[in-house]
Order: sequence, then C-alpha cells, then structure tokens
Amino acid sequence: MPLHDLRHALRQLRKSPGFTLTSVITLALGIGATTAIFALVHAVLLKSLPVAKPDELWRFGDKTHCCGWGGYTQDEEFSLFNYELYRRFRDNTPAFTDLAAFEGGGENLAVRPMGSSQPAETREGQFVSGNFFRTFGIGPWMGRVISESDDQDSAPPVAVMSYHTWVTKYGKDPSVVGAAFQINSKPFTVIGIAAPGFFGAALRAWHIPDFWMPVSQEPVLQGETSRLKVPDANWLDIIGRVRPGTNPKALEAQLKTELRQWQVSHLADMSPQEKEFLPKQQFHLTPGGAGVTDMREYYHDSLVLLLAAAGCVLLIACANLANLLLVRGLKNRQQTSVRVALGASRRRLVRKALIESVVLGMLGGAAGVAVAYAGTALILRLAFSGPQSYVPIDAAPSLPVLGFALGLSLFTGVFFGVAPAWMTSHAQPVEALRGANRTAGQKARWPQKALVIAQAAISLVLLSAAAMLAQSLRNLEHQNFGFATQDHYIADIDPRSAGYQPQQLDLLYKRILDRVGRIPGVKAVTAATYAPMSGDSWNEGIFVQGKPAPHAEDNYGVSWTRVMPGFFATVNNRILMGRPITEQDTANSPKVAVVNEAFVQKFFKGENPIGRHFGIDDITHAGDFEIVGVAADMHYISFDLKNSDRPMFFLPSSQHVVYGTKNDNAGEKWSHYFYNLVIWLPGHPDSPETQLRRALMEVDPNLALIEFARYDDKIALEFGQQELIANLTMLFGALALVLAAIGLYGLTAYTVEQRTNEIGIRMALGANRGSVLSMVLRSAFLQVLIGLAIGIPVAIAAGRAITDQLYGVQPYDPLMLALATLLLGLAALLASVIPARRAAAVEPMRALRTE
Amino acid sequence: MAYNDTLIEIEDLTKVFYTDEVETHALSGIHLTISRGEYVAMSGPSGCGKSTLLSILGLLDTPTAGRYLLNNKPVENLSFGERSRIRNQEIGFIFQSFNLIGDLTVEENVELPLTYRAGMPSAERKKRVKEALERVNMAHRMRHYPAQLSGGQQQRVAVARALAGSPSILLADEPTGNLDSKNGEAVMHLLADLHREGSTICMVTHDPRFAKHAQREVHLFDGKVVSEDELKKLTEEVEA
Repeated sequence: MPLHDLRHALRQLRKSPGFTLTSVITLALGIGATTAIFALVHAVLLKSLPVAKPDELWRFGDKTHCCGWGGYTQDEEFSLFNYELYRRFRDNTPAFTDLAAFEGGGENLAVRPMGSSQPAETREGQFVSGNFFRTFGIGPWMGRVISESDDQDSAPPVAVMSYHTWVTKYGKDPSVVGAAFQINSKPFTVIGIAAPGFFGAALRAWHIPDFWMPVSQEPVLQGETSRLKVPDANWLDIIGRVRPGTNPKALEAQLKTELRQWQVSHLADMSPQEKEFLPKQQFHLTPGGAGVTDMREYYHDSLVLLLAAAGCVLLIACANLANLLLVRGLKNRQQTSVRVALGASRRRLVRKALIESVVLGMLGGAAGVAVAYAGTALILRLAFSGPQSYVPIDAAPSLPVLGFALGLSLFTGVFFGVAPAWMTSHAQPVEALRGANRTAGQKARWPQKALVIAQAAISLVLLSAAAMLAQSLRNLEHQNFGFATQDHYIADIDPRSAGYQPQQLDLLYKRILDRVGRIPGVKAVTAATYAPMSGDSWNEGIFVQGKPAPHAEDNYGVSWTRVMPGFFATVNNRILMGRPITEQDTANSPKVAVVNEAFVQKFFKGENPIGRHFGIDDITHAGDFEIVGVAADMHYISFDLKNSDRPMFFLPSSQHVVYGTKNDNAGEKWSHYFYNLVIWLPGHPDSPETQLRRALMEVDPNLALIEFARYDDKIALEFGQQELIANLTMLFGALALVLAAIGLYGLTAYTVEQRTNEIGIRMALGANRGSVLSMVLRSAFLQVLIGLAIGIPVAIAAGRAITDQLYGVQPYDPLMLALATLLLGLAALLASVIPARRAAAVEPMRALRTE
Repeated sequence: MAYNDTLIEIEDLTKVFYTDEVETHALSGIHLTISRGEYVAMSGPSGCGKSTLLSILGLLDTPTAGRYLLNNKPVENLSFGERSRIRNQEIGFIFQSFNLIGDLTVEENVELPLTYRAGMPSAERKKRVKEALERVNMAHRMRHYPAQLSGGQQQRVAVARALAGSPSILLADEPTGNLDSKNGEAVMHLLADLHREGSTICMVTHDPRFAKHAQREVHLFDGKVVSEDELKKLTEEVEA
C-alpha cells in the first residue's frame, strides 16, 4: 500500500512541475544553507583528528595558550608545558601507552634544497616528541616517520614532510625522501612523507605544519633563544593515548599530583606572586580526540550563530513548504471528498499526504546537499583567503554531514507535512456531491496565516541581526586605530629562520632599513618585534619603582614590544608627552621606555609618568626602564577587539637587560628578533612586494619575505571572521526575506484566487479597483504587522544574545530595527502588490462566473 | 399606472463573444425600454442571452455595439470607476446563488455596498441596514453568518443587500433558481411587495410560473427579443 502511495505521490509531483520545482528549490536553499554550516560545525567543533582510535586520546589542559607562557604557574589552568615537565609526566605515568609533546603553534622555516641557489621558501614547521607519530597511530606514506631514536641530542637532524606539502609544493617528487634540505640554514634530511590527510594535532587556520622535526633539534634552530632546557618556558602541548580501562578522573588526579610535585621542586625559583598563586593552580585532563582545539575556541560562537541563522532560513523554507502543501491540499479537497465518499480512512489520507511531503523533503535534501557542497566550499574560500590560506577542511560532504542532511530532509517532510496532511484529510464526503458553495470568500485559514506571520517574524530577526553585524564590521573597519594604515605596508620577516643570532641583529636591521628605505617612493620604514594589529601579542607583569609589589590576583599585566627609532613617526602615532625612542637610545645609554595613555591611566593616574621607572620579571627590576615619553593609544592587539587599547610599553631595539631566570633571558633575547617591517610608501608604487623581496635578497638571500600586505588589507584580514559572519548573516537574511516574500506572495495569490468570486460580488456591489487593491494589501500587511509585533522583541533578544559579536552597536539599536522593518515592509509590498493588482484587474463578470 | 419616466433605454444592442476563431452572437440588435416603477421579466430558453443582457444592464459587462441610456445618460462607454460608482448607487443585484460573503455577518453583508460610498456616516449605514433587513424580515438574524441560514433566508438577505443602497433598479438573475418551490414563492412575493412599494425590477427567469409575477414579459430567443407567439413557434421548430 505505501508503495502504491509512493507511486501516486511521484505521479502527482510529476504532474505539477511548478509546485514540485518551487518546493524543491525552497527546501534545497533551506536544507543546503543549514547543511553547509553544519559541515563546518562538524569539521571544526565535532570531528576528531584523522588518527587511530581518537577516543583513546586525552589532552593535558583544555585552554589554548598559544604559543608561549613563562613561569611555573599559569592563570586559569596549566595548559602549556615545558620539556622538563613533559618528560616527568611521560616517565611517571604508566596509564599512558604513549604520551606525545608538540610545539604549541609552530615555526617559520626558511627552506631550500641543499645546494640550491634559489632563495629560501617560507614553510611552517613544528617540533614534536619522538613518539608523536606513534601516539597518533600515523605511519608514513613514503619513507619513515620520526621515532624516539631521532629525538636524541646526538641524532642527525631529520624532518618529516606533510603529504599536502609534498603534493602541492614538491609535485609528489619521490626523490624528496632521503634528500637533504637547508632549514633555517641548517642541514636536515627529509626521512619521509606523513600519511595523507594527517595535518598534525591541531585543526587551525594557521601554522599547519609542512615539516615535523624532533623536539631535540629545537636548540639547533633556535640557538640562544632555545626553550628546550628552560624549566619555566612553557611551549609544548601534550596529548597521550591511555591504556584501555583507565579511569580519566583518577588519572587526572594523579597528573595533578605530579604537576604539584614538579612545581614544589621549583619553589625556590618561583616569584612571590607565583608562590601566592600556587594553591589556586588548576589542571584538567580533557578528551583529546580532536587534538588542540584552537579553531574550536576561535570559531565556536560564530558557528553557533551561523547555524542558528541557517536554521531560521530552514524554518522559513519549511513554512513555505507547509503552506504550499496546505494550499495544494485545499485545492484538492473535492478529490479528497470523493476518496472519503469511496471509503478512504483518515489514516490512509494522512499517510498519502505524508508520503508526498516526505518525497518532496528527500528531493529537497538531495538538491540541498549540492547547495551545501558549493556553500561550504564558498565559505571556506571566503573565510581563509589570506596568503597562508591552507586549512585542512574538506568541503565534500562526509557521512555524518550526509546523515544530517538526510535527517533534516525526513524531519522537514514529516514535521511540516503532518499538519497540512491532517487538515486536508478532514474533507466531508458530502462535498463530493455538493460541488459548489453558495457563499463566497474562502479566505486563507489560520495555520496558513500563522506560517506567514512566523516567516515575517523570523525574517525580521535575521535581518536585524544582519544589519547589526554589518554595522559592527563597518565600525571595526572604520575606527580610529591611532596609527596610519593608508599608504602603509606591513611585511613579515623572521631573522631567526635566516639563522641570525641576537648579537647580529642590530647590524641586520640597520642594513634592512637602509636598503628598504632606498626603494623609490619610500618615505619611512621601521621595524618592531610585532607591529600594530599584526596578530601577535607579548605580555608581562610589571613592577613600578616606589610602589609595592603586586599580589597574584592583581591585574598587573601589560603588552609590550621593541621598536626601532622612528617607529612612532613612521606609523604616524602621536607622542603626547616627552619624546619618542631615538637613535640616542643605544646599548650603553640609560634604558628607556615609551608608554601609552592606557599605561599611564593604570599605573600613574594623576601623576606625571615622565622620569618614573618600572621593570619586568620581579621587583628587583623595577628600576630598569625610565619612562621618557607617552604615546597616544593605538589599537595594537587584534584578538581582543573590544579592549585593544591595552596598557603598553615600547622599548628600544638596541638596549638589553639581564634577568635572573633562563626563561626571562631567553624571552629578552627573543624580543630583539623583529618580525614586522612597517613601510610608509605613498601613492601607487610599482610592484612594492617584488621590490621589497629584491631588497631583502640583497641584504641576505636567506632572509625570506613571509608575508606582505597593504596595512588596510592586513587589518581587513584581521576582521575576516567578523566579515564572514556579517556577510553570511546578510546572505541568510536576504534568503529569509526572499523566502518569506515568496511565502507571502503564495498565500496572497492563493487568497486572491479563492476570493475571485467574492471580489466579483464586491465589484458588482460597487467596489472599485482601488478598494479591491487596498482590501488585498490590508489583508497581507496585517500578517506582516503581526509578524513585526512578534519579531521586534525577539530581534532585541537576539541582539542581546550576540552582544559579544557586536562592536559599537547596541543590541536594541532602533536604526537597525527600523532598517530591517523597512526592508521587510518593502519585500511584503512587492510580494503582495502583484496578486493585489491581479485581484483589482478582475472583470466582475468573469469573477461571478468563477465557482 | 402609466410609465412615462424612462429609466433604461437600449437601442440596437449587440454582444459578441470571441473565442479563438469562433464568433458567438449572444445578443443581436436588442431594443428595450424599462420605465421607472416597472416590473419586467426576461424569459427564454437556456443560452438565449438573458443573463448576458442582465449583465450589460447591470454594467457588469459592456456591449459590443449599440446604445444604452440609464437615467437618460449614455453608460455604454464609461470608465471602470464610473461604472463601479453607478452600480453602487443605481443598481441592486440579486443573484441566483445568493453570493453572500461567507466571512461577513448578515449585517456586514448588507452594509457592504454602503461601505463603498464615500462620505456616508456609519450611523446612516447602520440605519439603512436595519431598515433593509426589517423589510425582508431578517433583522433578527443580523449577527448570523450566511452558513447559519437556510437558502430562502440567504436570498432574503441578498435582497436586503440589494435594497440597502436605495437603487434605481433591482436586477434579479434567476432569484429562485437555488430555492425550493416554497422558498421560491416567498421570494417572488417579496419582489412583488417591493414592486408595489415603488421599486423598479428586472428579473431573469426561465420559469413561466415566476415570469407571470411581472407586469411585462420580454422574450428572448437566440439573442433577439421576440413576441410570445414567435417564441412559441421558434421553440416548436427547435423541438421538431
């Protein structure tokens, strides 16, 4: 019997191509949008790493503290580890069959085949423990992977290349395996290609490794800034594979004890603040099947928001489907009456109607999968369009995604088909005989109107959210950053990857600035450890001379960077008091610092900061730096968009401090490696990137240009996530608006058709075209107005829910709401005016003949 | 009673329907005059053009050719808006299938034509509705919906709706067609009463029993006005 109903349903759909096509397209858009976002949600939030038995993996910590954290304690919880602590865990925790460590973040590598005269190419590298590949159950595609024997101080330097890099950069050249490469000017042998699909232990939009190297080789590449043997330099993530039957809670308790024992063993090395904080130290063991979840943390809220928006589009599409089915059912009421008169049960009629809606749902789902595939690919392209744009997410629908689409299609077909099926099954057998009614005016029924009202309300919520997010993006992009972006360029370099030691850096920067400054048109050039809005951030707690040492719970952290003389003038930042850093601030002159307004507000409120001293590391260093100037606040930090004017200080490139701990000394040395050049180059220069590359080549062929961008573009890229969310929400808002307008059009057209006879009577009684037009429009707008009345408070509530995503926009912004209302009103007018005009054009005679 | 005051005057009226390549002459050279206060019945076999003529008289349709004077004014070439206004003020319709609007109450149905008159105060409309319903003995069902009434009651409400606007003429298209004989007779008596009270009525019917209620019968055959004898002869020829 169901097979007979299925055949009948297919025949009915074939006979009504317009209805079928409209339904399938509507559903395809709704299911496609939702499935596209779900594909990303699955890849980013739900999916495990492509490794063996991911459910056996457990990760130390659940926060991402990329990429370095100094000290013996960590705020919130201990999530990033030093090598000494890793070895302690590895050697003392038998519950793990394997415990792997790998660098949090990665390394910029300058790579070229040994003996090649070509300039070095930039690649991503990551140091991993010798058991890294075994822990994850990853074998080689070719050659072999790193083993414990490679992870020895005395072992020859080796590296494993990723399959993706081997394919895209080396054209699957088999001779790569066993070949010698120069990595950061040091010889390495590539011993193998990792299995296809393996991208490391973290899904990220950055630092996806091209090469994995044994962690014991870290000092070979890092030289004096090596962190391998520094006990308070935390830079490693840890993931282990537990033995079957291990109780994670008991294991966590054991690891917590091991951590405490290690911390106590370093009590003498701890600062007073660390000792004070020690009892509050948290540590968690978390499921590690998904690896280090940077991307999950970064994109979680956005993906949830987008999934909700896509869900709204699906709801609107489903409402359209329900309305179409209802209209179709009511039109076929006479036929249904005949079926009832012939003895069909209500159950049978409902089943028949449900089979038809499920078939429609499945057809819509199939088309939706195609829409989802294209949508996911488009979103990935839009989201990760930067220069380092490889993200290991495949747009092709996986089994779970296909399952989701199938479930959604079934749900759509059943849930939104059942009400129309039930309603249309209520035909009376007597109607089969009666045929025509003696009264006119079959208006739309309340479920139809309710669906349109719901569509209007949901559309308003989406449009309002889209308007707020778009305004937020505009506010972000057009804010006053406190420095010049127009006519400025930012370049990323890495002197470490070119093999420079700290003592060589001053000369190197002089040569770089001199050579780059000679590029035609360059007005000024400067360098910094990291430039404004470059994405980096260095933070330290500070101690002010003459003030008591802060307590552990005090917020005494500030951001800092080192800069070249001329930095403030080049980036066009104002010095409000005192002076900037100049050529006179040399290694032998008194150590100075320039601080920003936020720094003064925090530590010297109401006082003159010029001439005051502060320092980092501990209170004994409180006199290290004399404040010689105050700079206007700049939006320096890109990841905390709402609080980017953080307290900050700037130190000269050529001054050095010697600290008491290895870690602080390593950090001090590291801070002299400048990763950013800022170039002021007005006008429309001819190929500035090529000119810069050539200039760097002349300075040193090993000095690779990692990235180069107009400052405006760089900042726009920093707002990529906000832009993507705003664009997609606008797309979903537009889609919702179109679907809601189609729904309103369909209902109004249906109503007009049903009321043709009534319209004829009204005209016979003297109604003119204007009154018919206004009658139809009034009826359509009544539903939109009710939708607005419901939608406005919901839109305000939705605005509150996305407050974290808003910048300079209130969740109850009346302008945005008015804009959304206006758009919805216009769409409603467009949707209803066509059937209304058709109604007004009806000839009364023809209308009166219509039954 | 003398009928010197001409309300409707039709000269050489023709209506042709064009469907694909077929021309159908629904009305050919009709001449007809209806005076104020007159009760005219138009009869003839199915398809003879009765309803088409009534539609043209009611300004629901336009003639292909010919002249139509209503209240001594030519109305055959008026705009849609003008025709709407005249329909609303000068003509009252009574349909075979009642054509009440199902979502409106009896009161609202009767009030409907008055709502299309600009400037009529609500109190005046209510007064007229009440009077019209009282005239057809349906005032006690004001709050009911059409579906709650019998066929005869629905048709009486339709008559009240036609009367409410105080039109110059009532046009009734087979007003008993959907009623049983008892209710049909009741409606015919109602129309006769209205005529006695001064209303001008033009009724289309194919039932000779009801046509007898009118003062004058106009016979139509194949789109032409014919005498009673001619109609008999033509009908016999067709039947033969």
